[in-house]
Amino acid sequence: MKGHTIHFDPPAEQGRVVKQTYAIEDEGVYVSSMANALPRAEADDLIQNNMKNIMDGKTMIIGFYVRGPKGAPTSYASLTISDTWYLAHQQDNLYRCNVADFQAQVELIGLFFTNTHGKGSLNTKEAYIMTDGKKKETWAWNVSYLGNCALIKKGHHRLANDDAIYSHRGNRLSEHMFITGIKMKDGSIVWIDGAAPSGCGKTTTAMAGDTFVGDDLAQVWIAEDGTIRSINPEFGIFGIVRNVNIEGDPLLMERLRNPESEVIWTNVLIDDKGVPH
Amino acid sequence: MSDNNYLDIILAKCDEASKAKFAVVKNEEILSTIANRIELCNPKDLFIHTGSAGRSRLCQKDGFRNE
Repeated sequence: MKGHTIHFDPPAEQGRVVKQTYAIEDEGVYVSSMANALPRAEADDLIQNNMKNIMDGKTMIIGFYVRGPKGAPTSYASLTISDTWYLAHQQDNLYRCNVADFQAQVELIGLFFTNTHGKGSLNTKEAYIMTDGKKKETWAWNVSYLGNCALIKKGHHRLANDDAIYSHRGNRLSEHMFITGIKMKDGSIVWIDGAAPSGCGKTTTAMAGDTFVGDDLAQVWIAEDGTIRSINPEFGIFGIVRNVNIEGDPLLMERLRNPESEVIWTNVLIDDKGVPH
Repeated sequence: MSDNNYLDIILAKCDEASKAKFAVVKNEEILSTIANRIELCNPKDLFIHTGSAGRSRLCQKDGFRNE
């Protein structure tokens, strides 16, 4: 279908490589994380040894993304450095890319996140994914699955979460939440943020509203006038289509089958007639 | 390393189109981050992705060609 792309990841990398995902830990600082802790000196050595010359002969693609609309105090600038066109293509479908807005948000917020990704050998056994909360960086190499290399999403969400907790405690939330609006009889809209783990229906629930804003991530803060504000850092949808059907998810199915929608499919099976499923 | 050194490292890897795109990037920390990644990863050249029109199609097209 026009505008649709099929991407194939290595057979051993059909999902996140959780056991090879690390949080860089400084001496004397406890990292509370579902990722494995990795001492900084060890992490630095791994980065230097594995990322050295990893883009030899390749083009480095530098993307200036913003995780949310320009002007919001929680729209973090997110620099993506990679040698993979597929990653740039995917992030274009999910995040705003604009160098002027990127710089404006760096000036507004005073920080930015960086993700550095090298495609490398794609040997999954030698893959690493790292989050450095202190330097506000993420690193990934020898990976292709977006959950492992598009760290603007989950990796930088963790960094945004750190900023909310440690620098804006009591004023901000950075959470896995959908944002949707339900229209009342009097014409007003009640806005709802809701949390649920992956695969539990956030997207379907969000689309049940009348005004869909986001299905996965939400930045929430208390504005100067005391009102609660919320933005979706993304402007696309990344998800699993298992059990998605026309009865339960009519809007989503319409978007997925619309030739004007740009869709990237992964983990697709091709039958002996060359038809993708 | 000075601001100019960072920019020199970056511009040495850019074609004319990318140089023009990069002219608007002024923040020293952004420049130093990119320059450090260039020195570490050693790419042959840079593509500056600034969100220009048709960007996604370009990446999709190049993705097919290169990967």
